[in-house]
This record gives sequence, C-alpha cells and structure tokens, in this order.
Amino acid sequence: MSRVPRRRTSTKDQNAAGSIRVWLAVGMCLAIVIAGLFFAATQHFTSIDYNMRNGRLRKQVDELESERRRLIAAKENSASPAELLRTARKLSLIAEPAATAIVDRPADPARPVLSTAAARPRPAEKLVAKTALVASPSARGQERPQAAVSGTVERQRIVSMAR
Amino acid sequence: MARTKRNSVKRKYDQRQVAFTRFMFIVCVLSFWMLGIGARLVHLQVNQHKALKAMAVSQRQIVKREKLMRGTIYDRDDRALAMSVRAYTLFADPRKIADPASAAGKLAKLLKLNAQDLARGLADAKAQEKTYFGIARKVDAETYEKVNKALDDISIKKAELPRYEGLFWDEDQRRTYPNQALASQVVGISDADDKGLAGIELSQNGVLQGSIVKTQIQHDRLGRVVGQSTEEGEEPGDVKLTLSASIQFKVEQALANAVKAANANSGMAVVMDPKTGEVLALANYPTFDPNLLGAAKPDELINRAVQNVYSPGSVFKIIAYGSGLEKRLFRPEDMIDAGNGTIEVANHRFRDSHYVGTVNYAEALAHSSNVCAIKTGLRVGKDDFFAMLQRFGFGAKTGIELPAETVGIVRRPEKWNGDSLASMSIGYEIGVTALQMTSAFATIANDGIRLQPRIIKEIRRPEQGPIQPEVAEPVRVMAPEAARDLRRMLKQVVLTGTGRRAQIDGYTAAGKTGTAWKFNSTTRSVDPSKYISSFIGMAPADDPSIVVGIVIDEPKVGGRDGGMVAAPVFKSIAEQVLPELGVRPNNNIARMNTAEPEIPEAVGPANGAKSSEDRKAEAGTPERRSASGPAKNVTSQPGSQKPAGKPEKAPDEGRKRDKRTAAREVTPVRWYERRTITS
Repeated sequence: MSRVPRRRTSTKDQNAAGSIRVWLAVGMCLAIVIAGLFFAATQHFTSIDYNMRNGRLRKQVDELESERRRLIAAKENSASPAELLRTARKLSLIAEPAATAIVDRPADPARPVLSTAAARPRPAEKLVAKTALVASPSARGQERPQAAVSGTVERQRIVSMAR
Repeated sequence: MARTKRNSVKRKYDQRQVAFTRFMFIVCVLSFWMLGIGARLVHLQVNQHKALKAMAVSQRQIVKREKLMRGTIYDRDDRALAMSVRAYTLFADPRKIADPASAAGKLAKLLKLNAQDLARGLADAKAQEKTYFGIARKVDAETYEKVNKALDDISIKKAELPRYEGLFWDEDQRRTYPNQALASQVVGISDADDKGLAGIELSQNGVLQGSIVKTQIQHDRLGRVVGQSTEEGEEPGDVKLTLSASIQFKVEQALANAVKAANANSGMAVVMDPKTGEVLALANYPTFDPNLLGAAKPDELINRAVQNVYSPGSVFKIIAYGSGLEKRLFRPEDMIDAGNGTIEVANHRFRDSHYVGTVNYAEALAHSSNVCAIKTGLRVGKDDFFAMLQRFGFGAKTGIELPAETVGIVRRPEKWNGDSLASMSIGYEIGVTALQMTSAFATIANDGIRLQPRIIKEIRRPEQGPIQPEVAEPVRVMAPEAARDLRRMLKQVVLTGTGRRAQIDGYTAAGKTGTAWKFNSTTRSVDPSKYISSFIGMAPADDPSIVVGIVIDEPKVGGRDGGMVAAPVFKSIAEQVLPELGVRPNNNIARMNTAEPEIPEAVGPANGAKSSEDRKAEAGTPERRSASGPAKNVTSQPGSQKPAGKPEKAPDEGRKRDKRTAAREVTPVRWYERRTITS
C-alpha cells in the first residue's frame, strides 16, 4: 500500500502569504479612499472657484446691463425731439421761433357770408372777429358790461380794429 | 530561592491583567471624555441651535432682496418713453459707526449734504441703537463710484462696498423719462417705490412692475463669493404704445404755440388713425417734465383729453346732421331756411351769430347755423338723437387704456327739458371729452364704423411673443352713405365755411369748428366772456388717414372762434403728420381766399337781447324751401309757424321778461362744463 506523499506547506508560509494579500487589499482600499478624497477635494475647490468666477461674471453682467440701460437712456435723451430742436437752435441750424400772430380780424369788412338768391345782405354791419364780447356797431350801445377787465380791453381793441 | 520569589512576583502582577486594567482605564477616560464632548455637542446643537445657526449663516451668507428693473414704455417706433436705470441707496448701520461726526464729514462732502445735520442724525440713530439710517437715495452710478473710491479702506475686511465700517449700499432703480415732457400725461409717473401713479405707468403697473428677487450669496472670510443661489421671480413686461414720439412732438409744439399765442388757459390735441382706432398723439398743454416732478403743478398732471369734460358747441352739430342723414330726412343738397337767424324752443330763443338765410344743408353746417342745426335736431326727434349719441359712444368710456377716463355728461331723454334737444343739437347740455369727440369724427371718417380708441399697441413679456390688447368689437354707428354725405358736408366747412383756416397744402380736409361758452361755477351760469374753442377735422377728406381734434380752453387774445384759434393748429399738425405717414397729396396748394370775410360762428345757445337788425329781419323772409317742419314748442321767426295757443312775443320782449326767464335764456344749462375727474 503506497502512501500519497503529503504536500508539506508550513503554517508560517501560509500566514505570510495571507498577510501580504490583506496588506495589499488594505493598501488598495486606502489608495482608493485617498484618491477619492483627493478627487472630492479637488472637485470641491474647483466648485468654489467656479462659483467665485460665476459670481464675478454675474456681477459683471449686472453692471453691463445697468450700463446698457444707462446708455440707452442717454441716447434717447440726446435723440429726443426737444433736445434735437434745442441743439439745432444752439447751432443756428434753425431760426428761433417768432411770436405766433393770430389774425384777429378779417381782411375785408363784412358782407353776407353766403350769396344765395335768398340771402339778404345786412348793410352797414361790419363783421368782426366773432366773439360774444363784440356786438355789431349798431347794437354797441346795448352791450352788457363785461365782468372781466381784460375782456373789456380786448373788446375795445377788436372793435377799434373793425372800424 | 531567588527564583521562587521572582516567580511569585510574576504571578502577582500578571502582564495581561495589567494591560487589561490599563486599557479599561483608558477606555473609561475616553468614554468620559467623549461623553463630555457629546453632552457639549447636545447642548450646542439642541439648546443653542438657532442662535448658532443664525450666527454661522450671517458670517458666510448675504441675502439680497432686489426688485427686477421695471419694464420700459416704448412708442410705436420702439423709442423709449420711460425706462428704469440702476441707482444706489446709501445707508448706515449707526451702531457700527465708531465716529459719526467723521463719517458725516466725509459723506457730506461727497454727496453735497449738510455735514452737521448728517452727523446729528447719525449720532441720534446710534444713541437709539437703530440698525438703519438712510443717507442718500437713488444716487447715480457716477456718485456710487466716487463714494466707494473716497471711502475705500483696505484694512477693513468687508464683503461689500463701500469698505467703510457701518456704511452699505442698497441696489435700487430710478425711473427716467428720456424724452422729458413728451407725452408726459399719457406715459404718467411712478413713485419712489416704482409703483405707477398716473397714465400708462398706472394702468399697466401689473405688466411693468418687476417682482422681488431673493439672492443668497455665500462668501469666504475675505468676502469672495463662493456660492450664489437666486429665487427667480417673474420678469416684468414692456409696453409699446401706438403713439409716435415724432408726431407727438409736432402736435405738442403746435398746441403749445397756439395756447401761448391765444393766451389760453390750456389746450388738448388728439390725433387718431380712423382705420385702426390707434391714437398717434395725445397732447395736453401746459405739460410737465416727469424727471422734475417736484416742479410740476398738480393741474399739469391731469390728462385733460380724457379726464376733463367740456361743452363741445358747434362741433356737436354733426350728431344732429348725422342722425338726419341716417334717417334719410334730407340730402346735403336739400335746402333749409334759417329765417332771420332766431328760433324759439320752449320759450328759449336761440340765435345765429350772422345771417344765413336759405341755404342747403351743407352750407348750413359750413356756416355753423344754430337755427338750422336745431331744426334738424328737432326733426330727428329726441329718441333717435339720443340713440345716435349713444352709438357714437357719448356718455360712456371710450375704453382707451388710460386711467381716470371720464364718461362725460349725457342725460337720459326722460330728464331733458323742453329745450334740451335744441340745446344738444348745437352742443350744449352735454359734456364730452376731447377723445370722445375725436373718436366720433373718426367714426365718420371710417365710413360710420366706430372703433375703440387704442393707445397700447402691444405688450411684450419675456419668453412670450407680443400680446395685442383686447379691444371692443367695431360698432356700425351709421350707414356708409350717410357717413360719406356727412364727410362731404364737413369738407364744405373747410372749403367755404367757418373752418377755412384748416385748409391744408396738398391735401383735402374736412372738419368742424366749435366755440362754446364756458360755465361759471361761481355764478352758476354760462360766462359769455369765456370760451372753449375747438376744431376737429380729418384729412384727406375723401379717404381720411388721420383725425385731429384740437380744443383750446379760454383763448383771450385775438379771435376766439374755433376757426380762428383751433383750425390753424389742425392745419399745422396735418401738414406735418400726413407726409410723415406717407400719405400721398391729393390736392393742390391750399389757396384760402383771405379777401373773403371771416365767417363768424354761432357761439351761445341763446341771447335775449336783439339788435335793430334783428328786428328789421323779423319783418319777414318767408321760408323759401324748408325741409324742416315746425316742431312742438318751436318758433322759427319769421315765416315759420307759431305754436298754437302761444302769443307772439314782441321783438324786444326779451328785455321785458322776468328775471327767471332771462336767466334761463343765458343759462340754458347749469350743469355742463364741469371739470370731472374720476378715478
């Protein structure tokens, strides 16, 4: 009866190999954890950096938007019709406006405004600038006194022009 | 022996036991230590949680609440009429200011403030331990930079500017009106908190107002921003108006010149596109600059064209004639007799300002005959007249997107007096706004279809297309033929009638003058020395592109007729606006015959006193061919039928009448011409 020879492996050798594997595993884990931590830290600081840049850019955008609005307002102000007119007058491109005169009496004494067959002329009555302040010359004696002084003065002026 | 002793000692101090004891001792110490730390942690995180959290947050985080920029108001060509720009408000936390006097001295120099007042204010606020003390509100970017530079202290670790202990900036916005006084009553104003107070700023406040945005900013100990989160709010919208800045300016210039030349109290002008109902210009004078609101008088803030009611006078005759044309009572070529120029309705005598005689309807309108208009109105009848009034939109808001619009004054027929229909036929006993009257003319210009006047072209919201505002459905007021006939009659007014000064170079025009006495609220009667002069017209007459309404309040110098005061303004405006709108000329150069006399316009509804000419005229001009029949209580003198059972009055009877009747003659209406402001 032959005996199969037993493999002779010492317990010491087995323990050494096992511990190497354990240390390798631990080392790898540590390496992974350290790498992860390093990666997370990098990410964290990159994020902070980006946030800082983002904040600066936002501020810049806000400032540029404010500036854009300010420039639009300034442009509109400069191009406003009133400003253009003022500048044109300053540069003598257009003349200063003369006092507007409103014609207050007709060029011709009154005659019937309508020359229809049925229309009868009203002789001797001058047509003046029509206002309730002014009565016909014949009715002038019946005029009511005007309450406003300026109205009276104005009436006298218009009546005198109509004569 | 010695060996035995050593063994016994070994036995006594077993190494394992010692190690275990020591280990347990350390565990106990550590446990107590950790227990202590845990207790402390529990205390900090449970009992002092709120206080510590707030402290931590305040150290690293700033919360900013700011309003988004208020929306912009544009004209039809996208020119900004009102917009907001960035501004800054400087405030102090007085508790953190070590030396208020020194801070006040520096700030006063930079901001041009009174140093003593500022120092006293800061010191008082510090004594009262206030956390906020406003120093300068809404300063511009330039001042902001100047203050930051002057107060910069690099030794101070502060996240925000200015780097000065206890001083802070608050970002704000300031409303600016680049075109100054242009369309100021239409655009309106907003207050210091950017809330609309008047005009489009008020009516469209919901669109324009920006929501409040909360921004949380995290920063490091050096103040550098490391994180930011924003709670987004709804972006405000912009409003585009139908107004054209260019046309508005021309209209305002023309109106201002006319008001100044006539030394009038005020003036209003409306320019409308009759085909769309769009208001191209809406001007008031006097006006104000919204940028200098402190200098504005309260009266200048009112948009008179939509808020003030006035008696339209002869301009309103279009309603009587329009109703008659709509009912086919006459054609413009038919004849009507104005008699001797007086008509009596319900003991109330109405007069023409000048002799007209027998003329056709077109000429009667052209010469603004009161008698003819009253006869026409009486023929139409009060029910149809009132119905036409309503269809034209009188007595109701036009629907324009402006605040405080008044409906005017229109009484129901049940409340009319015997002479009310006659008075209303010539534009008394009724109150209208300039916009209502212009809208009525725009209806005639648009072949009888009334469109709602609009001043907002579109509303723009971010991430949305332009939104058109809703408008009322068009209303057929009168038949197209009637509208065209009426336009023909109005053309005659400009060609040969009271509105000849409205003739435009290169274009045909149509329109009507109006001159009405004003109501004096003190005497409770009309004041014959005060007028409202108006002219409302359209051009080109055959296919109108614009309708222009001009109203001048109390002209005092020169002529006071609408034809003298307001018609030239129409001419000035139309001659500038029509080419700008690209309307092709359809007429030669206007050649107004200045040799022809001015045609005076009927002003007052009645006058009791009669001239000798009147009495002569009363001798009788038989009504040659009058299309109008006598109405009840109507006396057309002479030649017209007298009301049965009513004694004929002596020619100068007016003077002999009792005071009550006389007062009634000159005060046909006691309630019109009120200044009505609704809100």
